[in-house]
Amino acid sequence: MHPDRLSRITGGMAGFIRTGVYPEGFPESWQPGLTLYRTLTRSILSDMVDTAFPICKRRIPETVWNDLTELFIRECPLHSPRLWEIAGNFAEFHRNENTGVRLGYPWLDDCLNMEWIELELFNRPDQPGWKFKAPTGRTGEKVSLIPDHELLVLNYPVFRTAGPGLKPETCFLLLFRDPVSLTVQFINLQPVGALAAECLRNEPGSCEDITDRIYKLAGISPDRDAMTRLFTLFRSKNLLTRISKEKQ
Amino acid sequence: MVGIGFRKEFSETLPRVRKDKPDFIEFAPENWMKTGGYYHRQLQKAAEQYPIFCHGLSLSIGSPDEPDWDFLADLKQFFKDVPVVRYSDHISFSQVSNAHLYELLPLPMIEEAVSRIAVKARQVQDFLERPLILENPSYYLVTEADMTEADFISAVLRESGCGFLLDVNNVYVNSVNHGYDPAAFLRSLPAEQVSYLHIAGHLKQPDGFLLDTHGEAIADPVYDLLKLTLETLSREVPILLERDFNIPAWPRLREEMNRIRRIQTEVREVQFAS
Ligand SMILES: [Fe+2]
Repeated sequence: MHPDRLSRITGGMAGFIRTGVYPEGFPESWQPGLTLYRTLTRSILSDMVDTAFPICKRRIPETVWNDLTELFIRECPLHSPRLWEIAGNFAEFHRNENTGVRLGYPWLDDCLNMEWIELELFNRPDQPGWKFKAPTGRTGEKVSLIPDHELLVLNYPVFRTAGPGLKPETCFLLLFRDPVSLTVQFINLQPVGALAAECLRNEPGSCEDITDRIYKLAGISPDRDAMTRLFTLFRSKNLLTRISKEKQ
Repeated sequence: MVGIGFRKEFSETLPRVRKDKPDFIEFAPENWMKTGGYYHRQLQKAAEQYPIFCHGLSLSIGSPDEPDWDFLADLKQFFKDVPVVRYSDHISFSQVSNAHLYELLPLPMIEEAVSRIAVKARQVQDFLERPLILENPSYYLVTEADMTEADFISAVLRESGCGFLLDVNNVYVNSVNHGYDPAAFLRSLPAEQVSYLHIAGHLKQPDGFLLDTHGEAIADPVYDLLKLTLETLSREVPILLERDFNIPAWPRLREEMNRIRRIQTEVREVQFAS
């Protein structure tokens, strides 16, 4: 018995599935079976990637998109036993490879990141012990942002799926998991709105507190009515949660 | 007991089922651990009503790699959070050099694989502090084999001492693809180690080759093989219907579960009478 028979066979099979290079010393008779396993494995991975990134996939010619998946499977070892998490590996891999810029899709990083965050937020473990408490809307009430959110600064408006091609534009996208419906939604914020969200996530506060904090932070005095409207919008989206007395 | 694989597609239906309820549900822990949100809530609702079996995909019990200790730690935590009755995985490999392939790949049927599985199974069971059950997989390729499939599975179960998840559809698929008698194969397996059964549908290719898709209704010869299995076992074990793709409306799944139940009853009555 060869002590490394098991390693040689399992390693060779895994290598072939990822790269398509037929292992030296493997009999020809194994080729049809190995090719079938290569097809099956790749369809699991490409289905996952396609499902995770529908917007990116729609924006890129199919052959190019398939090449991105191909390169990813060949080059990126996948360490998570949880299949859905490979979407995060895919976004990270192509960011590190600078794929978007190289292929003439400079918006690709933004789009991959946005769609990955959307998936991650949908699946993210619940904060232990946290419960959503809808604010009353009373003036002066201190609130905080719900925990399941991410504020993205984008260089391209990749969330706009209709209209002309993508032109550079700085956007502040607040993605969040609605604590009631548990669906993931987003708001495209103005710079002041993004500042308000940033202030709120750092420390709870009332509408007035946040207006003051924005002044201290950025030296601008946001319009009070606009701030009230922003808070009303946040509240209607279940983005704000009441904080307990002892935390105030 | 007849159970069904828990799928997101019918996760809203399941907690509301009143007629012909499944007796238990099964799911892959990898798809549900370390998650929250909508589907986690659906899982919690189902877990309040149904006993839970977990059927893993990524233990990679036969690969030369060390066990993935981080994964096992997460799994152990998951088993603390969710009341899991039985835990199984496959006699296969899916991870090499710390990289997952997310497909159940066939092992060479050699002594070295048997000993590797025995060592890893012990490590896994000691760490999780619960028994591990191993399933006979379907396979489309025999690489190196110093023994028959039946001898390989028997040796794995003997050496590892694990429980046996006997997948009847896999036996049928393999018997067609590799040309052997499924009844003789069944009789040569260690019946006393069987913990529970799987049954599922497969896809017949134009050339007659069968793919273990879990995406079709159970084929008639597989029901026949189930009957033979139950007669051979001569004791009741839980049976799980696996349906992972092309998921039909609930009544179709209920029909399949009822047909399994009828076979169970039929075998039980014959055995009781004799
Ligand atoms: Fe199975």
